[in-house]
Amino acid sequence: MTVPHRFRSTRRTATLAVLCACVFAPLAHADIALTGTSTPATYARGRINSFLLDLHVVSNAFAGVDALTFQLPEGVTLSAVRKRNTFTFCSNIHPLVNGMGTRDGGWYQLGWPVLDGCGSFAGSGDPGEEQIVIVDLDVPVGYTGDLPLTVHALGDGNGDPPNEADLVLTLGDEGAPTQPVVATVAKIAATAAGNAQSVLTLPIANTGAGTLTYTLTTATSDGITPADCGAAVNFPWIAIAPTTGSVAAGTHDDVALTLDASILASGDVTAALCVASNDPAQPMRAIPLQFHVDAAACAAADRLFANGFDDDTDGSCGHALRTFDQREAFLTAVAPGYETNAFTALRTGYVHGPLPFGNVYPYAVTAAPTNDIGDFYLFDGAGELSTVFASDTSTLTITFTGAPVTAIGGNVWGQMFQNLTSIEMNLQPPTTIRIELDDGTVESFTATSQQDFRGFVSTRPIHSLTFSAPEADIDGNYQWGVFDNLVVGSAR
Amino acid sequence: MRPAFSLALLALVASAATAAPTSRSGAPDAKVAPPAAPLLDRVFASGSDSVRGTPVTVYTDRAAFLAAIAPGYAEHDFSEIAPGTSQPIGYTDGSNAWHYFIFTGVFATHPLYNGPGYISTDRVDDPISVATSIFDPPFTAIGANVWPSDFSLRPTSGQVVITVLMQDGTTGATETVDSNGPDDFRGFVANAPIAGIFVDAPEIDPPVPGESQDRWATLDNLVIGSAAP
Repeated sequence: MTVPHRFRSTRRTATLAVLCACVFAPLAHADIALTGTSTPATYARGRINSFLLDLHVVSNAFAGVDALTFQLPEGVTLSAVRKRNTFTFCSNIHPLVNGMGTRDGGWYQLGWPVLDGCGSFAGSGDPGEEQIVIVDLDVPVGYTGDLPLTVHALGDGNGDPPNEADLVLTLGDEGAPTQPVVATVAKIAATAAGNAQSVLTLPIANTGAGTLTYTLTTATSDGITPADCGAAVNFPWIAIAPTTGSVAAGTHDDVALTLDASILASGDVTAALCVASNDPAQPMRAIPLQFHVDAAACAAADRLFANGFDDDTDGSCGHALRTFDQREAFLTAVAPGYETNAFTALRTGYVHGPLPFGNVYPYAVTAAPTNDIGDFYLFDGAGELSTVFASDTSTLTITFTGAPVTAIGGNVWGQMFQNLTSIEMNLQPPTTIRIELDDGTVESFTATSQQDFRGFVSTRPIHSLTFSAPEADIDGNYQWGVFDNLVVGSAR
Repeated sequence: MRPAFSLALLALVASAATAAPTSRSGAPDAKVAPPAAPLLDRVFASGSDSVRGTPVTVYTDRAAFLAAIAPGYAEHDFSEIAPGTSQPIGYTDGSNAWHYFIFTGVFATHPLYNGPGYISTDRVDDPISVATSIFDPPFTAIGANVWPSDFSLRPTSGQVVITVLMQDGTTGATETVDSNGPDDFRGFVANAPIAGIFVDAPEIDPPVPGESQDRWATLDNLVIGSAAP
């Protein structure tokens, strides 16, 4: 793997020229100083926020920064730190990342807190050396008001003491929603035997404020083009109860959706569920529905199982899969006791899979293709799993090895950790993400940031799923398909 | 002396001592028998040993090892260590104020990655190094529990290879442990100053289908001391 400063030879030469020039001028002995800005300058409550910090390390003595760390108020934690565009003229930099998942962490130089003599983030005279980093902060729902992000720079010892500087970036509160926000399923796929009825739950959640009012109707859909929810169509094989309701902020309704295969011929039918609500951002939301009717009857079709679906979990009567693109809606369909993993403390470097995770719901992650040197390359501080190479054949597969898993979801996106045509690292360009479940279900979408989410809730166990980013961008570069903040559990 | 400089010295000594054929993991190649340490003697759980005067005696039993060293030894259960990555850990303790570091990577360039109350490494190829320098009071006894762990720090199958480096630059002993878990102990008592030990967990060969071949060296309950007079 290449390192970021490998691409900075031109800049390095320029810096050396400046250093040489200093031989002919009195050397200043200024202390370290830090200036900078954050983009964005506000945060959203209840999720991981990513901030691009454009920092300038100022030092007339050309001191560098040994340790660049971040301190946060109570309740807010660091989720990841990544470099976007950083520079040093030190050849022996060995910073380590520590403190992810806590209120205080970042990059630390070897020997910290002893000053190293050549910092891993170079400084220069006013206006300073630009060092662009990315900091992900996990902000709880309950945090309100200004969020002071203190950036602490510990100098490398060059220049006058105290060799330390703080920069406080005050992040504004985007505030709580003032309107109702509807959160529900993004897609439904069900299969049933010819004489069976499928009953599944459609959560309608209000993640905003006030009272969400909703009305459910159905419309025609081919499953490809957007449904016309303005033209309601009643399908005798779909029953919805209730069709209207109201949901207080922070709560959800469970709507029963019954799909009757007994009045359908075997084969596939499609429709759309239309959720009209007083959510001003989504006054009408269409949910694609695909229903497959098996030709064979099911001997147990008169039984209704505890999971709310007449399925004996072996698929003999049918099953249903609900796909979510909103974490909040997904969690309404997951039973208590689920496990989450933000991968904030992974070992780093080249490693071979499978990598074990989980306790109640253990799982192993494998990467393909395999390589002798390692299947994964894990970047310190990134908090993500990634394959060694990005290509159309590179995949990450999660295989569940313990208790049956019927709910899994996480943030999924494409990450350009580095490439040969840019000095910028850790970009998140629009990326086609493909997720394939072990039953052959494929979910494909374009992810544009690390906020993109996909969750699956099934009526029968999900044994494995595979992530990939199989399409190159217009420059021919492939992104690494990565996931984070994984939730594993059982359907409610 | 600054810690980084001390570690650099130790690493230089270490690199001279590990010039033997190595696998990608840095461990002695499994296909090449590790060189037998000259005059190496071993004391098993019984603690009995009929041969005296050899440079390094290997103990597999903690009680027997402790009986063979002088009072005033230093002992660490690492209960104070926070899980996750860390810088090199330095101690100055014991009756002789022994000064030693626990680190990993050549020139300590990679972090340790510790579990709750024990030591491991971040990078799979790195051994755990426990070493002093020629400028510090010499110790002649060192022992610890050692085992291989997996990516999630769970004890797992495999081997641990311990190399004892003497202050004169020679290899005092090379001990391979077929792991039974975290209770495996190895202690080394010498009649000459010990520079340190390198604890490596080579990847398993051949790989087991469905299982990572990676192993991380893991260490706990370190003892530093002097041979009993």
